[in-house]
Amino acid sequence: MQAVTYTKRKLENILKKNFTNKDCDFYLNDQSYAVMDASWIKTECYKGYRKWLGLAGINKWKTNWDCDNFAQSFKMYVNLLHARANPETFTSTHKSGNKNACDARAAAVGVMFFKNSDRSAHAINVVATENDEVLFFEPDGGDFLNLSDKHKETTWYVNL
Amino acid sequence: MVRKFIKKIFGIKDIEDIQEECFVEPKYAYSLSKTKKKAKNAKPKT
Repeated sequence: MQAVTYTKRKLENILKKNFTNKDCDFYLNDQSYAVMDASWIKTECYKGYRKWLGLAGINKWKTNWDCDNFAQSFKMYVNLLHARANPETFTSTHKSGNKNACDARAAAVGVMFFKNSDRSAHAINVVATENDEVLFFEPDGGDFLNLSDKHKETTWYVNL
Repeated sequence: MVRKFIKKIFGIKDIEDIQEECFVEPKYAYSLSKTKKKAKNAKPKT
């Protein structure tokens, strides 16, 4: 069995189906993306993420560590795990024959910004699934969210 | 062995222990339908 991966174009199409705001900017910086197990994101991964943040002495929300910091660091943490678990490069694979479990260039976990009221905005993580769908993850709490259509329509920034 | 024992007694964690706690193994999603489709479309060996 092989891990599910998406090309940049396919993932962009999946995202565009979910975010109908014409002014929304999509920034996909890699050629291919590995789809992560959603239940793992919520459990083992999130536990590790909070421990990792704890090493830096960050245990809760504060004005200089707010929603965008949680979302960006969680995206980076998942990518860090992906890179750590797949250390082989093109050259090292050629030399040693060792292969990575997954050669995707990034994990399909990103950051999105949306308006949660007329005067405030929020940042969370967007997680692609193997069924060509996306889930919304609150990194300050560790739960998947049911995002309303209104919130999806007000999303103006998505970055994977 | 002695090192492990001392670490256990005094509750000492070294960098490997901390790394193991913080950096868990990633778990990827696997598509069963794609596997089935492949198997269905596979030509029988002659």
